[in-house]
Amino acid sequence: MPAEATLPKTELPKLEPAPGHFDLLSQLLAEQAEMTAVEQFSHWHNSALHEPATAGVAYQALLPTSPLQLGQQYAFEVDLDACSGCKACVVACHTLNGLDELETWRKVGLLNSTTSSLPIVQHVTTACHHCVDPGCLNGCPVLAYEKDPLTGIVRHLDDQCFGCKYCVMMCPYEVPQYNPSLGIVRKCDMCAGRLEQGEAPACVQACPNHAIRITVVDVETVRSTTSEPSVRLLNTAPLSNITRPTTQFVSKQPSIHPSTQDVFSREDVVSRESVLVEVQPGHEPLVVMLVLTQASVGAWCVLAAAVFFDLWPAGYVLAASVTASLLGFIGVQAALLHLGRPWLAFRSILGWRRSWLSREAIAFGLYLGAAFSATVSCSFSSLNSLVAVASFTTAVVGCTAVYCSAMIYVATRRELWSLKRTLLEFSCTAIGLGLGILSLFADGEFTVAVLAGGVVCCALATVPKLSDWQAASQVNLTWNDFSGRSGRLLRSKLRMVFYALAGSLVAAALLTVAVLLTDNAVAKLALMITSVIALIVSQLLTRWLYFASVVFARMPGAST
Amino acid sequence: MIRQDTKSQRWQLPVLHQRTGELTDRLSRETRAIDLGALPVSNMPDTVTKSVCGFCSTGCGLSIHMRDGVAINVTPDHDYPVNRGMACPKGWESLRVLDAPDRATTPLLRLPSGDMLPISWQQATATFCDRFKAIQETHGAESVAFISTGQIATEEMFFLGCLTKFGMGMVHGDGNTRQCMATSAVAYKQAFGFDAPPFTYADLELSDVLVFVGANPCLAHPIIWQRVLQNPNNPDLIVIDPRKTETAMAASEHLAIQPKSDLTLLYGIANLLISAGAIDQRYIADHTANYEDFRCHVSAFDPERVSSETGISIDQLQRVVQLIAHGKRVSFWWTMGVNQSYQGVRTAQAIINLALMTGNIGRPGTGANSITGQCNAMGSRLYSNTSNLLGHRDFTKAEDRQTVAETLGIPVKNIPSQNSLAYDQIIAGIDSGRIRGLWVIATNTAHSWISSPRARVLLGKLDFLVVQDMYHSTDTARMADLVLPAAGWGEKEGTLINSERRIGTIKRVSRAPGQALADFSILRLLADAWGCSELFSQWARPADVFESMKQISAGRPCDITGIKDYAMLDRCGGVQWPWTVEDAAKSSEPDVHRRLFEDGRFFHADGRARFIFAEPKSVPEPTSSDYPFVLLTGRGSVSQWHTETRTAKSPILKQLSPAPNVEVNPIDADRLGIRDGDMVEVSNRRGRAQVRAFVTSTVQPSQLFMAMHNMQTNLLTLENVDPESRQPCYKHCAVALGRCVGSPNPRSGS
Repeated sequence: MPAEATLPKTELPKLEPAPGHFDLLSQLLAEQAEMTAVEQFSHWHNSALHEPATAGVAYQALLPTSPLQLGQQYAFEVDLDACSGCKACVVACHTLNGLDELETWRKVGLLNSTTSSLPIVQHVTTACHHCVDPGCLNGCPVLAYEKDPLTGIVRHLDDQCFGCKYCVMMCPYEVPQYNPSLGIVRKCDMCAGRLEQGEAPACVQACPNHAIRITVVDVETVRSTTSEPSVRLLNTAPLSNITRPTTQFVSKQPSIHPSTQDVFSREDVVSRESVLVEVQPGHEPLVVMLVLTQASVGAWCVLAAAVFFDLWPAGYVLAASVTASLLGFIGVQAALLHLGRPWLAFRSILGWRRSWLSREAIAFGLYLGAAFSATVSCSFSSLNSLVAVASFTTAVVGCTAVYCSAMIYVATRRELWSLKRTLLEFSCTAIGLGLGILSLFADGEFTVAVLAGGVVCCALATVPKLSDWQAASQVNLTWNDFSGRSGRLLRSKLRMVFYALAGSLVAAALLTVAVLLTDNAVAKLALMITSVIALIVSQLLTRWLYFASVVFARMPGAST
Repeated sequence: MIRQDTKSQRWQLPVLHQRTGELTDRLSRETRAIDLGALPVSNMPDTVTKSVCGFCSTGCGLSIHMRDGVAINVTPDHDYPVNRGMACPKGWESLRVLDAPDRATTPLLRLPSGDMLPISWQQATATFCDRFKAIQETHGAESVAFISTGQIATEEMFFLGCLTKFGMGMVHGDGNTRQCMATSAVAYKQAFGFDAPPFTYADLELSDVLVFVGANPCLAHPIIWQRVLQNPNNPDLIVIDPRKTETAMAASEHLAIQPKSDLTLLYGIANLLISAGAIDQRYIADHTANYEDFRCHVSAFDPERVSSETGISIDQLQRVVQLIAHGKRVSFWWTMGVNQSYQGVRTAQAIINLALMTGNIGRPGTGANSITGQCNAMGSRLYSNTSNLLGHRDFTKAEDRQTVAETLGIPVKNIPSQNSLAYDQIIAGIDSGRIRGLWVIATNTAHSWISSPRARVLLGKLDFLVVQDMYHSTDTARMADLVLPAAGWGEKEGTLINSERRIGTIKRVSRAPGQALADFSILRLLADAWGCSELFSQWARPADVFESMKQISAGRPCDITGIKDYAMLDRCGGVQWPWTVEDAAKSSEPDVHRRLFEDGRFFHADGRARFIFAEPKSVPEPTSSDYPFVLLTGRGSVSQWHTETRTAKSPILKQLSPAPNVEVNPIDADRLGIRDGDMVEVSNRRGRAQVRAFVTSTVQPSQLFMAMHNMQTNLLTLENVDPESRQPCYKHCAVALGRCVGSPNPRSGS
């Protein structure tokens, strides 16, 4: 291709315009700035703002004809055979609801077939499913969600939201969207205000093919059809028994519509989301929060044991308790950085009846109190039994809080965030870092053993990610082999992070060995501190990968 | 319908549970005009005006929401007969694309250093004239040419064609419509005697059998597609396309033919229809010519031959023939799959032949119907003064030149007596030194011209390249010596003519940035600077040119002398041509839907349509062992338009369109170790493209598909044109496919 610089060169022109020429230019520029067309033409349409017209009538057929009965609610119905993928619904939602740039509450995904003899391309328009058992509502720590008892519409209270984004994780369909400039999430309300006036929702009225309509569904019917363990809204979509979505996707194509019998044997009709894997948000403030609070709780557990068996002198215990509590305090503060509107953090406990996030907030609140009290008691070396009781209490409350942390993610029902994997990761991190950090305060011959124990536990925390890495060696992975697909991420886009994680663990282990081989006390301490730092780094990276490399069943369109 | 729930309004401390407030109010909606429905309070208009859309040829009507005299929002027009309250994402985002940091706001001149210097309009117009006149003095007036466009108002292309050819002495000028509609125009002209798409959109709702050839309206014309789904006759859909497109998904019969075997298939269908006696002898006798020769010609296309050449089973052929034979109202529709071919004119005529022989023309729900591409391709075909003299006349005919000269009050000697070079010949003319200066208006040659690397080299060879565009960042503008900043759709007035011959208005509702001017105003400045403005002194506003258009159309098949003014166009929801003074005398307003040839009289002197045919030719670049794949190209997303010059400016449209990819059949992917999402290389003798693989069974084995929006696609296409229409064949070339060097091989398990 020719470089632009090699194009013909041009001299600067003469600056003498022809007389009269300039007048024409001024006139044309002035005309360009005047919206004369509007003055000439718009008055025909002024009346539109005052006179009733008939626009809404065309969509009446797409709205329910009868009022809702008890036990019923509104739902979207999508005729997949009519959805041609034009995405007018998406832009209409954006425009008619005045959403911010790039914000759309409706998305259009794509299903296609991977079998040569079965050519299929199917676009899928999807929005909030106004679930019978909404994950967003159940997870919200500040009660910012309501399910309208009459219409069943799941509504978000924008002013109540403090931007924790937990609903984005809790909704299997990733419907609520975080708006960084506002610091809150927002979501589809089925244009409830429009429905109240008998007007169709934006997406319904904008679909040229009438593919979207509002129907009335029986809540009990939704409950029973979604209670089958394998039912999904569409192939490769999340399991419907998590939140019991009400959207009805209808089609005459049997291989797409799941209500027909053998659809799940049709594993070859898949969404883009189920084929391509994306790196998920790393949630760095949460990574710091989780690792530091877990280190703190682990340290208090180790400390409680040390006090109980009277292994350390009081001075060491006090220093260790201050360190452990400080870690917890910093960790809890880090969580504030995750919030869109951190000044409303006090609301986080409101959802304690349902939300593990609220329970975690309460548990860590109690934990910090217990840790503070225990630290204070440690400064009174004469009160040995009080120290033991306080330490033990702190450890127990801390373990409960870590359990709540784990349950926040377990509750999303993502396979890679299972109870087993999450508890293994979180508890090994806690004990590993607890041992590692407290090894700096340990006495004499135990020192290296404690550190080594820390290294081993920290290594154990990475077992789930190692198994994902291993699972990726399989050549043909099915869409729901989440572990293998996560492993593919670890081997491709996240390769450097995974190597850094492995490197930090190996470094910690080698440094620990080096401690054994060193006689110089100062060098020993320096090596141990470096080793502990390497351990902390390894756990931060593990936790970051816990978020970033998670692969789960996603709704078609979720990645658009 | 819904009563407010009172139970949920429990008393709460507002600080603890805040149900309303500033954030909630941001999304509040209100209904102030029932025909607009509820709108966000933050974006409430004080008045509304109307305009047709400036992207594709569907020609949807848009309601432009105005506040304080400036456009703030767009919604589809409920009353417009084309779209009935619907629009595709491009239409919805029409205003958003106007607001971009790379809008050209002043004329720009390339300095010897290669940098672009902002200059004044006086300097720009003086440079334009000095440079082009100097080239013309040295190399002859013909050595400066222009490339027009289907993206500006008819009045502007009319003025442009007159200014260049009657005022500046240019002879050669063509439009980017050569890339989309030339084939249809020539096919119609030869078969019907005039470039006259016969249909009205209502025909889509009236057919009982619809045949789509090389068309994917679901993606390319989604608002036209709504008519198909609203057809109450439960019609049979026959789709002829190598790919399983969205449209093919909806078909009752999808003929997934081998690429470019369409002509053979259509002749084979004609032959079977004749054998089945499913032809309209009376219509053929009364209204057509040359049928016997045609019958002889297609008799060689027996089902066995057709089956082996197209890959379609004889069974399916028979089924399709039966559907057409039994259809009472069969309509045939085609777009770029036919037009962008090395034998597109004959293919389009093979479709026309099917309509003629079965009498499926001139009646509701029938027709051989070409769906246009660009918003004003139809305007360009009639009024751009490029390949035809104004009003689809002939430059080489003295009486046509005389009529135009008298109508416009222009000396007849100013009208060239020779035809213009076509786009490909202008490009080739740069190579041979025949063309030295080029003026490109609202098109992006460096991206869109077939086999773009050569086009870019040749654009670089020009002595002087002027690009007139809304954005200074287009691939072509970045090569220009002089950039003239143009106002775009929404910033100027005029008319556009859609696929069904409907003339609609566009309005000036938004302020152009900086010193950008409407193309119309730029033409006035240049006419003035060139010293030929007295020739065009009657045209102070686009509406003045519209009057000239009416006069030019008088007595032609495209006669619009019965249209009073823009206000009438708005009042009637657009007017389809023809609408003559005689029509207007009979009825004050035209029917909303009108089709041509209802009386069976065509525009040839004898009133008969012609059967035109030829032996199918083999593909210009067959696959080989080195290049075993056929590369198909086409529209890849409903949210992008052509080279994305405008649509890429809208974040939402960008978000809605897939990342550039190449569609690969699973069998090929498996064989080559390509996984969905891998970076792959598509290459041939001309170039190489690196894109992500999209493994999908919608393309057949040994075929690949890439979207035209991707700049890399034209690195591969083969420069080859239909000899009749000189339209490039974008849809077929031979390529190789492989994994990108350096990307890990999944087979090795690394």
